[in-house]
Amino acid sequence: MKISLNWLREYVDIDMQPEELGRLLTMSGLELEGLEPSGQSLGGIVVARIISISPHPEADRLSLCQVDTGNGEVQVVCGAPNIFSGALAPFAGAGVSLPSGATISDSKIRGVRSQGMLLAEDEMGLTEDHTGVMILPPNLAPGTPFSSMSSDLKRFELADWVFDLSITPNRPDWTSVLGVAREIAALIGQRLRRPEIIIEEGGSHIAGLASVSIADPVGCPRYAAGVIQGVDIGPSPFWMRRRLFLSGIRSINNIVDVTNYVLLEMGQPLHAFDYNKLRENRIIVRRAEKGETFTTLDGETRPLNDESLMICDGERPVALAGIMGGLNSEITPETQDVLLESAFFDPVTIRRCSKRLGLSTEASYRFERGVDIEGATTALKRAMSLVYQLAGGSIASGIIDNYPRPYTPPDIRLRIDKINRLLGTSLTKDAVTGYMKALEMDVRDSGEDQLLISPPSFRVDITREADLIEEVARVFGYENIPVTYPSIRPGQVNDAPELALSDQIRQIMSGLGFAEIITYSFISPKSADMLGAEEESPLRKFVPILNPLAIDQSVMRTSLIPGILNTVAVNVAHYEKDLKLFEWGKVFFQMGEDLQPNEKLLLTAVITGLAQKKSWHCDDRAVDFYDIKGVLEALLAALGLKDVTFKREKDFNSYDPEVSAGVYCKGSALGRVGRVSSNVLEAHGLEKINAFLFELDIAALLKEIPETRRFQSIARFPAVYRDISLLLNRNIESAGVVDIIKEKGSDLIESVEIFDLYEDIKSDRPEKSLAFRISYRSKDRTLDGAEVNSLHETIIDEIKLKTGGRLREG
Amino acid sequence: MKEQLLELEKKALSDLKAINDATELEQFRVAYLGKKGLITSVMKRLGELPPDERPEFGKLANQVKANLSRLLEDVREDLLSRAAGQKSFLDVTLPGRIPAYGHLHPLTLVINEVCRILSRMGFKVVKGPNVELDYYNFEALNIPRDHPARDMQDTFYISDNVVLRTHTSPIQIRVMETQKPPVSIIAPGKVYRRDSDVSHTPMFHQVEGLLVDRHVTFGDLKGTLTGFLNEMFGRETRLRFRPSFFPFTEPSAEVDIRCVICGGKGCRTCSNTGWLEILGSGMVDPAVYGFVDYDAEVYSGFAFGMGIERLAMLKYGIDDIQLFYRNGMRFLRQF
Repeated sequence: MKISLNWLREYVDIDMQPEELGRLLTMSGLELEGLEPSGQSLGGIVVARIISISPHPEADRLSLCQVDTGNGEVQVVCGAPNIFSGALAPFAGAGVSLPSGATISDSKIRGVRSQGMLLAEDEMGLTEDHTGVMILPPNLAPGTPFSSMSSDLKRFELADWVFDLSITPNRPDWTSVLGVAREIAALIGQRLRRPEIIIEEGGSHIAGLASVSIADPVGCPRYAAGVIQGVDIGPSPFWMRRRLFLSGIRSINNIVDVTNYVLLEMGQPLHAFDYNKLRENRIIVRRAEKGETFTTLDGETRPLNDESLMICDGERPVALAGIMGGLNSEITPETQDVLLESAFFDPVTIRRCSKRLGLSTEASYRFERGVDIEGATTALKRAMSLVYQLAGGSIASGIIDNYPRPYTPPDIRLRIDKINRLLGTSLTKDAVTGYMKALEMDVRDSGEDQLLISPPSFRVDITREADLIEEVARVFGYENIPVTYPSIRPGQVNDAPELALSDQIRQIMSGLGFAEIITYSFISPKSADMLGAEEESPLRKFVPILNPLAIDQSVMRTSLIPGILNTVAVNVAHYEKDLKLFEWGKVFFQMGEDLQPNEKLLLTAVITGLAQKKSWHCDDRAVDFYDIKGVLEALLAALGLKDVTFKREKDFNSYDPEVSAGVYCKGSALGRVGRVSSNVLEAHGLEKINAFLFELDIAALLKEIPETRRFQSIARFPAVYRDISLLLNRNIESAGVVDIIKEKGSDLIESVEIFDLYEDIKSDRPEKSLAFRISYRSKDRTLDGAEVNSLHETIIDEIKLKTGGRLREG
Repeated sequence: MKEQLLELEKKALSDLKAINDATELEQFRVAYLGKKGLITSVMKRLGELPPDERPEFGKLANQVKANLSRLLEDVREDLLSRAAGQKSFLDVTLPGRIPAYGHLHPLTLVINEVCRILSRMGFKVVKGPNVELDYYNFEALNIPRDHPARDMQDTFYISDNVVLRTHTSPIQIRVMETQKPPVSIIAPGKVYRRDSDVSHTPMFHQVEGLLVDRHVTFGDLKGTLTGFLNEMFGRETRLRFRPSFFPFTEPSAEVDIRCVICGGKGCRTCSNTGWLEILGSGMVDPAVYGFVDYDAEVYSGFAFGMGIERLAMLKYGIDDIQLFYRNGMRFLRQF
């Protein structure tokens, strides 16, 4: 909310720099978000008198003015329609800079010399008005510096500061200049001055003019109204327009401006009706009927439902209660008689309606937070006095105040001991009493250690002891609360089970050369197609977002592959082609509407481009299946997994059916590894890239990781090595041979390594050569050469028998 | 035969010293170590020895042969470098064979640091769902459906009752619902808000903290967060606690640190205030205890939450939040 410092000063004496005031407010919970000067760079502008006006010879819309600047006469070309001879106006001569940054020069306009400029309010950044030059009061001397003329004319005080304050939703009483002034007064120990209300009732009695009935006292617990007849609709005076401008409100006319002014000043939203458009001169507050529509001031026709609270006249709705008035009863230049409304509407009712219609206004903003129900008539009278002051007319005697549910202030018990126990302070009852009184609370003694507090009606946020303790802390000052260190007792809660694993995996993956990425959890619904997912695939069990920011962020991801491939694409576009990336993150599967999805943790890694780049000691080598598989094997081994097996798999979405495998541990599936299929690469704009992936299901992995590692005593007896070189059918998998070796050799096999592979693709013989090195070792004795030889022979025989292979000669 | 072998070795060594060029060296190699060379032929006569002497002689012969081969290679290298007019040169500036090393995402690094500091203080690290029930994300945190406080966070909806969590605070409720005090937890994780511009991403990270026990005070909140921020940003870091509003804490406090960029003089990062908003905190509102069935007369506690992106930006001097989610290598490689 934007607040003018000059306006604040009307209610409280402030003797400090704006920055200092800003700090004070920030430290009391009214956070300063911005501080801007206004009307402060007007140096060089002087008051000038228009001596005479003649038409411009070349342009119908321009005039030539002879102007007395107090420092000689000059000629000025002016296009404003409101000039007259004798008028006083601000004048900028050649060389003067305006707040907009423009500098005035002595120039020719349509062939005629113009030695300066008569200024409109907007050209000086004072208001947004550009209807004509600013006409000044007649008693000023030409040549008076414009910026200092305010010393005589309080209402023309130009130099100002605008505070932009962030108001938290719990403090509707701060949504007004008076509310902020009240806070400042309490903080610096000054007295608060209230706005002047002068009512000269001269008209007929209100009872004969209008009536109000409330059909829905829940939605509207109070409705006050007053009538002013015979007003002159016109523009508001400069001071009011300036304050509205500084608060970011557009000036409309003197009546509407008064309602906005009082809203800003006192926080009470008001509405002005054209009295003569209210049929039967009646106000009825009721809920709308289903299917009803209503055209608001902004010209929009809005659908209503039975929750919408309406202000109606004898026949029809005339305002959307607490949100916006109706087109059918608005103030126009022809309006003569005005009915002013000052009401209290139920916050929830207003909020629901405002949300449903997507219509938020200064009024609804305040009503939904809660205005001061007791302040309704004060604000009404303030507005009536301003209308009278600005637009004349006669004020009907009396006001209507329909108040079916009068406010009763709560009595809240405040225990001194409770305060000190919660804050860690040692405040006395006297001190607390002082703090409460500074905040206009009603304080009563209620026994040895406690007080009974009634908050003022504008403090709608205070209903409980906790709310009062917060106020004590705030006034005492957070900075004065002593710093202590709690001794944290261990509770029943343990670290999340995957926590250690997530650290470990991230460390291992980065150690293996991979960079961690983090991508958005929401992706495009097209991603399932891009991954080649079939109709029934779980990849399509999307959780859609009802209000996404963009279509490509409109469903929760079911796979980390789209994010990782998009990241590859982003990098490839920047000539980063040799990538090793991984992401640790959740995927989400729909479990039914209105239910939380199944959230599953995955680790996905990708490798692209070159596994090894040409250097002085080696050549380029492109990545292949065994690079990604090797990483996966290293990771699983480092995590302590044993018995990891790989099975060829042809039906994985996203993977090349010829180059992919499932990863298992003791029979349970852990994940997938393989080449990204060409179609999928192409769909992600990566047709020129070769990419290999693995995906691991963290929950499945977690089950297989040994909780504690058991030490195996280190072998004390020597190992014996024997090699086997075999010619095998190409389709025979090495793991099958290793299995045979291990089965046959049982616990004497320490390890089997594959140290050579040769395959002549061009040869018509469907054979490959594979060489194994077996390490034989016993735990309890030195193996005898003969024993090993005989076992080795048995193993060879078994392999030949089961695979149809033969030993390679030579 | 042993003597013969040793004699031969002596002669070979002196011959080797006399060698001047590669031709002579090759002649030497053939003469002594070739297939029909002198050493080889002595070794072939192994069978003439009595069996018990054979192993010892065999071993010796092998040693002699290996020794000569090694010296021969030394001479060869020497000849080569002499031929080139210089000694062999080790270029220590040539890049080594660098094994690939990777990078953790800066957000991970900061989350890890935050969790490490707070874990040492005794907080346990817990997790919760990203897609959350309205009840946990709002209702039980004292943010009723029709309350203006809902406007503080722009929410992504899955359905009327299911949302993408807008903060990590629902984890407070999930923990308190199942555990009695003392409770001391931190909860890092992704959160989502319907907000995307130069300084906002629709997904970001938070770490939540909660301590509930008997006699926990606002002073304890100040102490814990002071300790935490001093470790995170350095012992000299000045901080201030100022009143704010969060529906689930009361009193609530925003915590600022002295601007790490300008040291408090005022700059763009701190919007000329000299202070940086770093986390939100407060004493758990008794209304929240009502939802989890804790007795507010017996227990008290505090909660706090911080945005990880902001911490990371300050810590590393990153000026564009979008970089975290673009994952370009030129960015990631710096961490």
